[in-house]
Amino acid sequence: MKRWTYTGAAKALSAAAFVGFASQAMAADVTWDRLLNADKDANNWLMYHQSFKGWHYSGLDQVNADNVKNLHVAWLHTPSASKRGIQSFPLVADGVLYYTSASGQVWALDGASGAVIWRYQAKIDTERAEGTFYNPYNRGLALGYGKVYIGTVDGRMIALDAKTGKVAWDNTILSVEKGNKGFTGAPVIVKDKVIIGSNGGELSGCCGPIFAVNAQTGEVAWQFDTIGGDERSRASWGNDSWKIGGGGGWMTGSYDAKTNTVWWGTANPAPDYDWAGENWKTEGPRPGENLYSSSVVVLDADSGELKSYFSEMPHDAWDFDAAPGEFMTLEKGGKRYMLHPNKGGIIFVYNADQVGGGNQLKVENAYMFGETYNFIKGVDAKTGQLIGRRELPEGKHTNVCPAIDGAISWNTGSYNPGTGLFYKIGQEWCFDIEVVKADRPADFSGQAYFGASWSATHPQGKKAYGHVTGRDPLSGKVKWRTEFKYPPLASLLSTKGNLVFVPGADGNFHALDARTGKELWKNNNGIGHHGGVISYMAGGKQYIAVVAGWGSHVSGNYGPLFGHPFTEMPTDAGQLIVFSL
Amino acid sequence: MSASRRTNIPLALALLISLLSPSVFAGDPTDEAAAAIDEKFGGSVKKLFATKCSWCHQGYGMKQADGPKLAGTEKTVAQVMAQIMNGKTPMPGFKTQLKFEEVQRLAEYIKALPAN
Repeated sequence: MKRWTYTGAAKALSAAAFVGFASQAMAADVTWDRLLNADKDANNWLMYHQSFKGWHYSGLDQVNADNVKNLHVAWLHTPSASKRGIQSFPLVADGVLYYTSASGQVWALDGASGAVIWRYQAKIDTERAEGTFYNPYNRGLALGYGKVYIGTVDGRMIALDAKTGKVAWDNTILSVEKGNKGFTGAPVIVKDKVIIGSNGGELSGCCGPIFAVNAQTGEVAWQFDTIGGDERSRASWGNDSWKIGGGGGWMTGSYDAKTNTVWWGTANPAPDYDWAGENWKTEGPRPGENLYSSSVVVLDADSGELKSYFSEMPHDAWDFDAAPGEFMTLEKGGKRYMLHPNKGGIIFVYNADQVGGGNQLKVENAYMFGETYNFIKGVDAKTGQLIGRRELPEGKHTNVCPAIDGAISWNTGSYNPGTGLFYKIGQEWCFDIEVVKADRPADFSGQAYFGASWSATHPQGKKAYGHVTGRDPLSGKVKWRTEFKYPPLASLLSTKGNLVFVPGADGNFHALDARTGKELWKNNNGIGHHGGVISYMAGGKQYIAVVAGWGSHVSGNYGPLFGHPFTEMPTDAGQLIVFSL
Repeated sequence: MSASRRTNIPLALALLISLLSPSVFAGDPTDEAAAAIDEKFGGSVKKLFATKCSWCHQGYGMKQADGPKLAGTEKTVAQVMAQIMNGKTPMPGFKTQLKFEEVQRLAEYIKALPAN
């Protein structure tokens, strides 16, 4: 008779445990068809923006306005790397939750219990990654074809087996020869490709590429240079300044199936600030409109060819990227619209169907959602053109609003088809700035090239603050507004249960009534938030998952502006916190 | 005129002079710190700071923001130079972006900033 030894039993148990974990990970594959129809799949959160509609909306209502007061922490996960907090969006497919923390970490967790299924740790080229300010945070991942895809701060895209976390392929796709930097944004799968935009902005490299990579092999299928890639762009940068122009597309765009196009927001030009002031068309470090920086570009999904664009900030003199901001597809009266928030505090509403020919997008409406602004007098609702630019020539300027941090940061709003409202955070503070005549760096150097020194300030006559509004997305008419002492910096989630979840800067995680803005519940998560929030089903139960953690560049203003609790808030800590009834 | 009144007049005059002295109209402390560095090395260290450092260090180093307030640092010039060159996560290193003399100018400027 074979004796059952302790060693044998232990081995059998460990084998069973492995199988047990593996069975939790045996989810159905995330196919292109599932991604295309993600808006109908309320049980999962399959991509950064939830679906290609970009609504950040959950169709679940097990948790709702009547019972949210009973919401409590179901489980937490603390990653071992969270410098600059956690800034990413979790994704969920069939009961498995995936998210990135900092420094190249990726986690797969059981969505019901939080048990770790696997962890992946990318080995980052620290020499290359150290040359950038955009480090070591990460804003999320993509799921599909049995794989998890991430971009890294040293310019790679990595595909991991979604079941095991083992590397399927690992490719360096971003060349540093022209001063390009790495990736911090979440990729998005479009058909057979994975698309990601590079960092750039105030780093004087070229050319801020957006890549489409073959999802199976990791080979670059196409590359769109956000600056300097075509004659029209180069002609809009005087003195060949596109060679040091920055650009990039550092957040996650979206896909429109009807036109087969990828919509992406691009980063600001370098230097951030232009000493030439009102003479920017002919003088200064980058004379001209500086296409396609601080613009929306619409690219053919298969070839990367530019179909249309709109320069939201022509010759951006304020660092008001188009890179942050979701792309929301909306329909009304038989017409389709694409809504996009700009960092300067403007909502642009584009005609989603008039694309092609390399022409400019048609603006159907444009309205201010920031409340404190003097960088412009306003925006033309019919054309989207800026009215009454306030240039910032060499010298000192006080009370410029909004500050470099914008009226929004990179996190997203939400649209709720039940209420018909678009929910969006606004952040209201200003700055004093001194613009200098910075020396032009070497072409393609990728060096820091800001062009000014500044100090954040309160708006004149009041303290800095924030707000969440619920408004008609197309007209901009506000239905309700809830003010926050500390401007929230995280993304919003609205649900079929008539809830809007607002992860606050001070650690409070709020649930507001989506119809009225009234607070129904809150929980102190112990540290500020500036990342994603999602909802999903696992084991028949609805969960709300939010990342908590503080330490982004923008959050650095909160100590000087507000003092406590931000002066003592750690910037190298964070957790994933998951709630249920 | 009494003796006390006679002594009060010069005192009052001295007080008036001190009120009108340049120290009362002292300018931006960052200008004062930079003036000494620029005289020693040439160029404009504040322009260099605004070009390279200001994204994280506000107010020419006088304010806490994303990066710490630099004024009043207890680090030596050599230590500040080492950090500028090599970085310290999340601060990037600048050794490929700055010449040695530029690093030195920035470090000496930072050390020259008043602590208060």
